[in-house]
Amino acid sequence: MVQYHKLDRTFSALADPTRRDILLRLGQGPATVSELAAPFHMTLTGLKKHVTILEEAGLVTTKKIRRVRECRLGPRQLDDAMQWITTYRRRWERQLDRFEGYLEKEKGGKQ
Amino acid sequence: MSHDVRLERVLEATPEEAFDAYTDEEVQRELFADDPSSINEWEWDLRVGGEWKIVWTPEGSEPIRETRVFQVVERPRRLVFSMALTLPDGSNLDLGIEITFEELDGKTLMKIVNTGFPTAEAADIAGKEGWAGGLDKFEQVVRERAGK
Repeated sequence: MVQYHKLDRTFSALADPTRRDILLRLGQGPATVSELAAPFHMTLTGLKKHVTILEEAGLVTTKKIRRVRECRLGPRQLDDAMQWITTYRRRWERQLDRFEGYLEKEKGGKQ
Repeated sequence: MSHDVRLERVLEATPEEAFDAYTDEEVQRELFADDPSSINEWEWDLRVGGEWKIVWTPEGSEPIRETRVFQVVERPRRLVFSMALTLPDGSNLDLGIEITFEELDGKTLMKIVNTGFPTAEAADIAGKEGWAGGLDKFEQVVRERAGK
């Protein structure tokens, strides 16, 4: 069953290209905030804002290890978002099936 | 990959018949849910700026609130409305829906386009790294390609 928890946060988190690139980078393995910031030529403060949004959506987790903050891919929130879209589409399909059935019945009734 | 959720049907009806049926409140009540008894609240005001509000409870779920505002009502060709969904945990999603009815060899081609999904964002990740579905699979694919 789709878990609705944080669905809009997942969509908002994915709406930004920098955050999508952060997820791609973390897909290759954990990274510190500094390592994540380097390719974007971004300040650490700016990068941390993106990481915070991803963390709040459950897409990334962070952990302080000695003096650095390590980021990793988080739990499977993206699955929920994609599953919701699939469920939404299937609902439309069933509505259209019923609409087709209704029109055929109306046509049959008139003939 | 598109940002949209798109569907099409060829209907055994003229555009006028299809549009009138689709914008009939009683027909919409029958179409809306798999189980009509799952509809808890319903308001219908078919005019530009009018609201169509539904509160319904899918099986196994808490109630979902949908507020639709009609933006275009052009018989028999085009219907456009916004849709704001409030999900059980309070999350909000804002979508746009455009429905068109085109004459096609005596029948009607009905097209539905839902916009506002960040599917392109998820698809962007999927397309770049061959992710078929699920962030865990994506992670695995990337790591395999990186030789880890």
